[in-house]
Amino acid sequence: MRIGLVPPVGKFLDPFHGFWQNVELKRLEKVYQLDFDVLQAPVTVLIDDRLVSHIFAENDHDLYFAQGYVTAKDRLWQMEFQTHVVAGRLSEIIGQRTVEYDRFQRRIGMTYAAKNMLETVMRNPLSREIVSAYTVGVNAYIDSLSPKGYPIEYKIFDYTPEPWTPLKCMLLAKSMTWMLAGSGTDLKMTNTLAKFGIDTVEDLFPRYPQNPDPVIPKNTPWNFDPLPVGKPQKEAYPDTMNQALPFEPNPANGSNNWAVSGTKTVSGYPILANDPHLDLNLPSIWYEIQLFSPSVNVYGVTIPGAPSVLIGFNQKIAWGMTSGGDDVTDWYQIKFRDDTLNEYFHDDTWKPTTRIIEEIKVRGEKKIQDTVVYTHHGPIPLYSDEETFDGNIPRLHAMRWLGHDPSNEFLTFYRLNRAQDYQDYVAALSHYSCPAQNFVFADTAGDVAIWHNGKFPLRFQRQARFINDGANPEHDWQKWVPHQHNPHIKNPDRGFVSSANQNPTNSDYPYYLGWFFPQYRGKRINQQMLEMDSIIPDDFRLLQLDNQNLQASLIIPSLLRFVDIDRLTLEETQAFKKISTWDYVNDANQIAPTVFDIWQKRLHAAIWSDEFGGNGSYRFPSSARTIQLIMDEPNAPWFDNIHTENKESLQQLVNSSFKDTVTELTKQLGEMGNQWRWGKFKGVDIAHLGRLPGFGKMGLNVGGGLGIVNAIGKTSGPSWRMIVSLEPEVKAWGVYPGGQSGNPGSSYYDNFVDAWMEGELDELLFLKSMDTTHYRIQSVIILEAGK
Amino acid sequence: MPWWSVAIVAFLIGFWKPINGWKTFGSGFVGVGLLWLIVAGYLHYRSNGMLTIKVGQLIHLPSSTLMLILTAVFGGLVGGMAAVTGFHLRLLLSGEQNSKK
Repeated sequence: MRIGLVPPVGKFLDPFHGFWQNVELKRLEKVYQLDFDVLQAPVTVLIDDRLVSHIFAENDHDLYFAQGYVTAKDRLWQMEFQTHVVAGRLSEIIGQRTVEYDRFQRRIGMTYAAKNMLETVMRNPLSREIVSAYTVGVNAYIDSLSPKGYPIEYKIFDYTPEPWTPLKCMLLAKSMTWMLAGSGTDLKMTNTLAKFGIDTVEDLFPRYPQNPDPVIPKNTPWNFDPLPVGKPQKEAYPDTMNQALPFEPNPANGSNNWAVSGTKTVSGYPILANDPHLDLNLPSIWYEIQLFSPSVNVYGVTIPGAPSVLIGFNQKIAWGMTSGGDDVTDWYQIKFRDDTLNEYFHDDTWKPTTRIIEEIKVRGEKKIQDTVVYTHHGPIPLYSDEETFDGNIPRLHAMRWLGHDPSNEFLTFYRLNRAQDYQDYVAALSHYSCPAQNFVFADTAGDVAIWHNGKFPLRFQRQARFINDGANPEHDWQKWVPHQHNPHIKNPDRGFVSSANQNPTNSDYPYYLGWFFPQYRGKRINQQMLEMDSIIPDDFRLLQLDNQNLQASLIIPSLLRFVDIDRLTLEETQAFKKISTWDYVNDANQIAPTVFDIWQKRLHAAIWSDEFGGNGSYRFPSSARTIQLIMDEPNAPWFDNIHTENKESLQQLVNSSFKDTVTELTKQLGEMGNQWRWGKFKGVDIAHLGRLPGFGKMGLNVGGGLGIVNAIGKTSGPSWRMIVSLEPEVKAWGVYPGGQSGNPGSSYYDNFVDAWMEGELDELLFLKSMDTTHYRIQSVIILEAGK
Repeated sequence: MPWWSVAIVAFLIGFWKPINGWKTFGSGFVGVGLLWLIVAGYLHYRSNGMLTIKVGQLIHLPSSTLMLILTAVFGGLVGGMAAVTGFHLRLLLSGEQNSKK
C-alpha cells in the first residue's frame, strides 16, 4: 500500500518487478509476432529510426485496432491519466488534495459533454468503427501487460490501468475543446459594463484592432446573403457583481499556420506550414503515426487516445490547424423558485431542473457525492454559498457551452485523412463543430485555402459579450451561422493564406464570433510572406523560428521618448542602453527582451490596476489597445492613478515602471550579466505531465516569446512544427519537443527536444508502400489474425 | 511472482541451513543485496543511468549511484531479515522438539 504520495518501497525498488524494469535498453532490430483473434487480416507495423509506427493494414477496422495498440504500447499512462484529469477522477489516484479540482470538472459537465458526443459518434457507422476498433486495440495491449510491464508512473502512484472505453476518446476531445474554447470573459465584461458604461466598454475593448490584418484579407467580398441576427424586444439585462478569479483565454494557446501557392515557390508546388502552440509537457501532447490501408495513406500527429491523424498530410493534400479562439460560452442568470433549485423561471413558467449525481472516489478516504443541477441552458457550476473555483464563474448562473452539444469531430478527421482535393476538404470540415479552428489547406493540384471553421451560434452582440437573462427565451441561442458562411478563402490574389489566432475577418463580416488575440504574430507572418518569393521549404522553417518582437517595435519608440535619462541610476542607464539599441529580436542571448518583458507588464499594471484591479472582477484592456492609447492619447484620464490626490501622467508611469523593472531584475538576478539574458531568464520548462520532479526537461535556454512567431513561453510553445511540400512526391519535415515513447526509461522519451531547441526539423518518413527493407526501418511488429 | 517472493527464498534458506543469527542475517543480506545490485547495476550501466538519474531526482537523492546503493541495501535488509526469520523459526521448532525429548 501507498503512504501519502510515497510509492511502496519494496515493490518499487525490486529490480525484477519495480521501476528498474522500465529501463528500456536500446532497441535491437527484430521482428515481433503477436496473435489477435479480433483481427480480420494480418497487420504489419514498421517502426522507423525516430520510433514512429507505420501501420499497414488490409482494412480500416484492423488499421484503427493497430493504431490503438501501438499508441498504448508507447503512451498508455499518458492516455489514461489525461482522461482521468478531464473526467474529474484525479482523486482516485492522488487522494484528498485533488477533490476540488475533480468537483470542478464534474460541475462544468465534462463527462456529460463526452457522453453527448459519444451518442452522436456511435450513431455514425464510420466513426463508430474507428473508435470501437481503436478501443479494442488499446485493450489488447493492456491485457498483454503484467504488473512489471506497467509504465513507471503506475508504479510511482501505485495503481493499475483500467480498460479503455470509447467514452475516453470523447473525453480527450472534450479536454481539447475546453482548453481552446472553454474560456470566457462575460462576467468580467458585465461587471465592467456596470461600472464604466457602454461607451468605455466599446472604447477599451474594441472588437477589431487598429490596422487590422485578419485571417481573411480585408475587402474580401462575402459570397453569401447574411442571415438576420435577431434582437430581443425586452431590453432588461442582469447587473452583476460576483467575485471572480481570472479565467481568460490563455494567450499561450495560440498557433501559426500558412500555405503558399506554387507561384511563390521554387518547386512550383504549394508549401504548407503549421505550428500549434500549447502547454509543453513530457510525454508530449502529440504522437506521430502513419496509417495505411486500401482507403487511406496519411501521416501526421494525433493526440494519444484519438484515432486517426489530426494534423498531417497524405499523397494529395496537407492540412494544419490553429485555434479559432471564438467565443462559444455564454452565461445566463437564473431565477430559482427556492433554494432546492428544483425549478427555474423561463418563458413565463417554472420549469424543472435536472440533476446528475456525481460520485468522486478519493484514494484512502470515503467517496464524495456531489449534485450538479442542469437547466436547459446547461449546468450550474457554482452554488450560492460556495467559494469560487479557479474560473470566471458566477454563482447560480447556467453555463451555455457549445462543447456540451452533440458533435462528431472524428468524422471530420476520418474524411480529412482521406481527402484528395479542396472539395473533399470542405466536405470534411462541414462535420466539424468545436473547438473552432483555422484549417489551412494545400494540395498537389496547386490549391491553397483556409477556413475559419466551426459551429457558431447566431447571436446579437450584447448576448455574446455579457451575461444574459436566463428567464428570457429571446436570450437563448436560437440559430446557427450556416457552414458556407464561415469565413474562408481559396487561392487569394496575394498567393498565400495564413492564420495566427487573430481576428478571422474585418468588421464587415456580418456575424459576431468573439474577441481574438492580438494580431502581432499574424501581422509579422503576413509581412514576411508578402516579401518572400522563390520559397523553399527551409524558408518556412526559418519563418517558424522568427523572433522579431513586433509588439516591442511598435511601443518602445513611444516609451523611450518619455524616459527621463538624466535621472537614471547607473544600473538603469545600462538597462536603458540595452533597450534603446535593441533590434527587437527576442533571441536567447539578448538582454533587452528580459527588460522589456518585465517593463511592459509593470506598465500595463500601473495603467490599469487602479481602475480594473482589486478582486479580479474586471477584465483588463488588451496590450494592443494599451499601445494604441499610449501612442494616440497620451493625455487620457486612464493614466492617472485614481487612488492618489495628485494627477499622474503617462510620463510618470513610464519612468516609475522602468525604474521598478530594473530594481526587480537586479534584486532577482544580481547585476546585469548572463543571468539577464532572455533564454536564461525565461528558462523554458517542459514538465512531466504528472509533475514528477526529475522527469521533465527544465530551464531550457531558447529564444522567442508570446506574441512572437516563435511563440515559446515559459511553459508553452510550438508543440509540433510541420512543413509539407506538396510536390507530386509529397515531402515533409517535423519535430516536437518530446519523443515518441512515453517511457522515461527510454532514450526515445525526449530525443526530439534538442533538435526542437536548435530549430531543426527531421525529415518525416512517408512510405508509399509496405517497404519492410527501407533503411530507416528498425523493427517490425506483425499482428497476426486469429486462426 | 510478487516482489516479496525473494524474501520467501531467503526465509527458506535461513530455515534450511541455520548457522547463527548474525551470520544467517549476513548471508541473506549479501545474497539478496548482491543479486539486486547486479541486476539493477546491469540495467543502470547498459542505459547510461537514464532512468536511475530521473528516479534519483524524484526522491531527491543527490546522486544516481545512491539509487543503486539504496536498492541493494533495501534488498539486503529484506533478504537478511527473511533469512533470520527462517533461522529463528527453525530454532523455535527444534527447541520445541528438544523440550519434548
